Amino acid sequence: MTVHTPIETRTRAIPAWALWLTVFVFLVGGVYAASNLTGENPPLAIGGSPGASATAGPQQALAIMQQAQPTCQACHGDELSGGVGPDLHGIVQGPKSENLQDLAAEHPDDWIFLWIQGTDEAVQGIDRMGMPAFGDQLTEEEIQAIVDYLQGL
Amino acid sequence: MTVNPRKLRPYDQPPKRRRPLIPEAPDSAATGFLAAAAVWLAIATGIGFLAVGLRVLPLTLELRQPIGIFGVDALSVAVDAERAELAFVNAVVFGWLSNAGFAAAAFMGPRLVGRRLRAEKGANVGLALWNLGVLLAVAGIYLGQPGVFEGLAAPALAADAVMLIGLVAIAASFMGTVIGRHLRDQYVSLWFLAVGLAALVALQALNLAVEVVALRDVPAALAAAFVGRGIETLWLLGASLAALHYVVPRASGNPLYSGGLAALAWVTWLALAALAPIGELVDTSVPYWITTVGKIASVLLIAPAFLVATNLLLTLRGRWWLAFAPGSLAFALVGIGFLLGMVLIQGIGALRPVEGMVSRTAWDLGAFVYAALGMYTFALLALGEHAVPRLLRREWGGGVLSAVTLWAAFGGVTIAALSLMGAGLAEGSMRLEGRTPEEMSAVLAAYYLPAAAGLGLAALAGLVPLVSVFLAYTAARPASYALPRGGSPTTASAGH
Repeated sequence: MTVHTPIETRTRAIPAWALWLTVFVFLVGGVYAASNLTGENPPLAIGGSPGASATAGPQQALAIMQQAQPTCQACHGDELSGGVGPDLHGIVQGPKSENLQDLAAEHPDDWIFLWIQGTDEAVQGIDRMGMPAFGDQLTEEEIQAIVDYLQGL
Repeated sequence: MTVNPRKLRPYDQPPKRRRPLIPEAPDSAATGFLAAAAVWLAIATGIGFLAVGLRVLPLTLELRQPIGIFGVDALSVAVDAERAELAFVNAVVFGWLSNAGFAAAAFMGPRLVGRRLRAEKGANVGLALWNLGVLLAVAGIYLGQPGVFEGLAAPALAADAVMLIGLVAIAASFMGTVIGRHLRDQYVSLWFLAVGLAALVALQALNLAVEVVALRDVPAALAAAFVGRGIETLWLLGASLAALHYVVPRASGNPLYSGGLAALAWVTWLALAALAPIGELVDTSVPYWITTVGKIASVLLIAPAFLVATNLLLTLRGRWWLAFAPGSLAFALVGIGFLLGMVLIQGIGALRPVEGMVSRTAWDLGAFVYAALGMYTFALLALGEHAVPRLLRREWGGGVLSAVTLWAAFGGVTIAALSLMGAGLAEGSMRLEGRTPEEMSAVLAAYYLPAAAGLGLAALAGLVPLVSVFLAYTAARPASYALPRGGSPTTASAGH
């Protein structure tokens, strides 16, 4: 009795179309890779940790920033150097948008915090121009961590 | 002299034959893994339903019992959406899919090389240790602090160590069976399984090493992300492709369309699946180009998936009608459909702009459900459908239970996965619009409700294989199937 029944194959050859298709796909991937070699990864999101919102240490600040990063990048660009929204580099010098000049003048130390938070009376009535208010999504510590990060850009 | 049994006193009766604690019968390991997988499938889909249900109704249940011994003040058990989701992922990956993958190895290996599984006792010990570890891990999620655990990376040091020891025993048993038989000349399913099992051992060892040296924060999270993606691309995808390559020719009765095409698919899968995990190393400490190469490898996985799908569909030529009957081939075909959808979704999700938009939304869970309960589950269910009657030596397969599993799982998983991915896209776009959490919750509930219903349907489907295995064992008529060499000779009435 034969109990070993290997699975037969019709042919052992590789069809030419499959070979060319594979080469083509790898070439496209290679070209794409070659054109996307420069840039910088965002800081890692240490997800799933409820403790991250309790107190924001240096590592947690990075995690919090990463949590907000995709949203920031969507408007401010991959490098946060400008897109639909303004360039965030050098923001410590003052706002680059006209709509925030008065806010910065009245609150020179914490205008970035207030603007990101978006729930304080001080920012009511200012045209947000698509900028989300994070006051309901992030704690004050988390927003402060983002402010610290942005001020270092 | 004849003895009237009614007059025998208790001490006159012959000793009862005891079953050994660790079974040695041929196929006992494959049977054990398959039974464990069926139990875990029911548990995992139930937890999945709970996890998505808790997104609709965000409740937290906590039981706290002061104990004051062993330096522990109190034992607390908490159930919330975060823990349920983490337990769901672990139960699916390490409980259901891994046990089913081990069953595939223990079933296919001996049949493809023509000899019994080596050290079957060791594999059975591995089965016990692995499942003990997974049980510890899942229980630990509800008992411990969720922040301690990260994604697929193993939940606790003890659980990881136990799982690794069990895994080494399982892998050694499989490798001992197939190595030395000119692996190059062996069927492609063995290549997929050999790489998958070796990768799983290496990744679990890496995971344990990270915990032993107590890495924290960014390095630990990077290692966990790498291990999680590696387990998916190398082990789960490898085991699933092995199962599909085995089931389609066996169930259709046709030879595989092209051995060369299968070899090409294996080589491209191996190269890309090994590179894809580095795409998860997204941090400022990792050079951008390294992450880019990993992400492109994830996108290019569409190439081996397409080659596998083409090869298997061409294998079916002339036997298409078999695909429309309930049975292993129908599961395999749905699995092939999910395979193509999965690589497309994962490829799109790996693109940086999309990743930025859907990061930390329900998209990740939806993509996981699509891949894990879709592609991997259907491929391994196809093998289970083929293997159960052969392992239990019963006339079983097809029928109503098979059709219920197929359609309920297909419908449930599709609805749940698409709803969750839709919720992720909606959440990402609402974040950009600056909507308030209240507004977002109202919109997202419309996605979570069908997702919960879909996972409920999948949970129902997850119960059916357990019932099916039970009925096959207790109610079906005995049948004879060929055994790998070394087992007791039987009539090869239905092949392998």
